[in-house]
Amino acid sequence: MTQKVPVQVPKLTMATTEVTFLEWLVEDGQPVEEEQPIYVVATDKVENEVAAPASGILRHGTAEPEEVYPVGTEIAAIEVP
Amino acid sequence: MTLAQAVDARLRKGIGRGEFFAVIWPSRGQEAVAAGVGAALRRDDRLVTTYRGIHDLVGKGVPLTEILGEIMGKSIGASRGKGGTMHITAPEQGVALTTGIVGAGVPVAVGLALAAKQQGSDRVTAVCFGDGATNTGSFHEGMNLASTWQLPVVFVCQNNLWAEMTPIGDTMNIDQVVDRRLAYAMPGERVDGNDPEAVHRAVTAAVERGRSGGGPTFIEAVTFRFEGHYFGDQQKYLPAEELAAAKEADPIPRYRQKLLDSGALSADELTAIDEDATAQVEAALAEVLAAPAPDLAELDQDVFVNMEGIPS
Ligand SMILES: Cc1ncc(C[n+]2csc(CCOP(=O)(O)OP(=O)(O)O)c2C)c(N)n1
Repeated sequence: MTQKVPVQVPKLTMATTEVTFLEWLVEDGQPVEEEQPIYVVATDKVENEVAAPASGILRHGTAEPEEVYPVGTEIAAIEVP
Repeated sequence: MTLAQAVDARLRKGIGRGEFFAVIWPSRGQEAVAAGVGAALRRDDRLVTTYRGIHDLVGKGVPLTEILGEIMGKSIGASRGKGGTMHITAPEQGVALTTGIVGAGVPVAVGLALAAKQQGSDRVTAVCFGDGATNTGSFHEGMNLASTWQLPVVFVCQNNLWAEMTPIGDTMNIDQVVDRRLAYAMPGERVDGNDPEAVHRAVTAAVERGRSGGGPTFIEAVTFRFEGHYFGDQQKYLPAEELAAAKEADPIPRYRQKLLDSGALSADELTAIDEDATAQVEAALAEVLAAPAPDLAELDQDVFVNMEGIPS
C-alpha cells in the first residue's frame, strides 16, 4: 500500500510565519531521496532549500512561484511505496 | 556527546522538513564542553546555561522528553511547555535556568552560589555562556562579586569565536577571553573545548576548589558552532575556510578515534553507543509529539506565588 508523507512548509527561523515559494528543484512525479533538497523558499530575503522528509515519488501540490504560504502549509506529498 | 549530537541533529532534521515547529540555536560542535562539564558536576550541583545550551542540559542528565517537550511547547516539557528553549528549568537535575538574555545567567549563578554558601551547602554552581557574553556588564558584575565573596562558582565560557554574526576580534581587544579573570584575581585556564577530557579535568579541579571553599574559577573552552547562530542561519558571513578548518577539529569523530586508538572501546561498542543515542532520541520524540499542549489553566500558574487578588 502506498503511504503519503506530507511536505510541509518549515518554520525556518524564529521570525518565520510564512515563506515565499520560489521553485521546485525536482519535477512532479520524479523519485526523491530523503534529505534531498526538493524546493526553494525565501524568508526575510534569504533563500533556503528544503529537504525531502522521505524517499519516494514527489507529487507537487498547488504551490506557485512567488506565492506566500504560511508555515505548516502542505505544499506537496511524497508517495512512499 | 553523541546523545547531545543526536538531539541536535534530529531537531534540525524535523524543523527543516516541516515535521514539527520549534526554534533552536544549534549546539552542534560544542558537545565536548557539555560532556566535560556535565560529568564533572554532582547531580545537586547547579547549572545555568543559555538558549544554545541544549547540549549542556543533556550533559547534566535532564530527561530527553523534558528537553524536547519544552522546545516544542508540550505539557511534558521541563517548564510544562510554557518556556521554550530560552526558559528551561529542571530542578531535579540541578538545572536552574536557560536564558536568552546574553550574560544574564552569570549573576543568577553567583546568586545561587551565595545561597549555597549561606545555607552551609557544599553545592557548586557552574554557568555556561558564550564569548560575546563576556562583553556584558552583568558578566563583570558577577565575576567581581564571586571573587570578592569567594563563592563556589565555575564560570565556563564556551568560546565558539562568533557572537551572532560578529567575530570575536571585532568586539574585544584581548587575545584570550581567559585573561578577563585577571581583573578579578580569579584562577582559571584556557582549554581545548573540543577535547572532553581536557574540559573535564579543568572543570573537576574547579569544582573541587569551589567545594572546598577555595572560591570561583574561570575556564575558557575554545570550540566552534557549525550550524551558525540560529537554525536556518545561512552563515553567508562565515569564511568557508574557517568553517572547514573548524570541522577538521569536530570533537565527535576526533574523540571516537581517540577511544578506538587507545583501545578503550571497540568500533562495535562505539556504534552501539551511537545507535542507542539515536533510539533514545526517537523514543523521546515520539512521546513528545504525542503529548498535548499545555492546558489553558496553566496560563496563570507559576506566575505569582499567591494568586489571591490577581485577576484571572
Ligand atoms: C543582553 C542581550 N544583548 C543582545 C542580545 C542579542 N543576542 C542574542 S545572541 C547574541 C550573541 C551572543 O554571543 P555569545 O555570547 O558568544 O554566545 P553564542 O551565541 O555564540 O553561543 C546576541 C548579541 C541578547 N539576546 N541579549
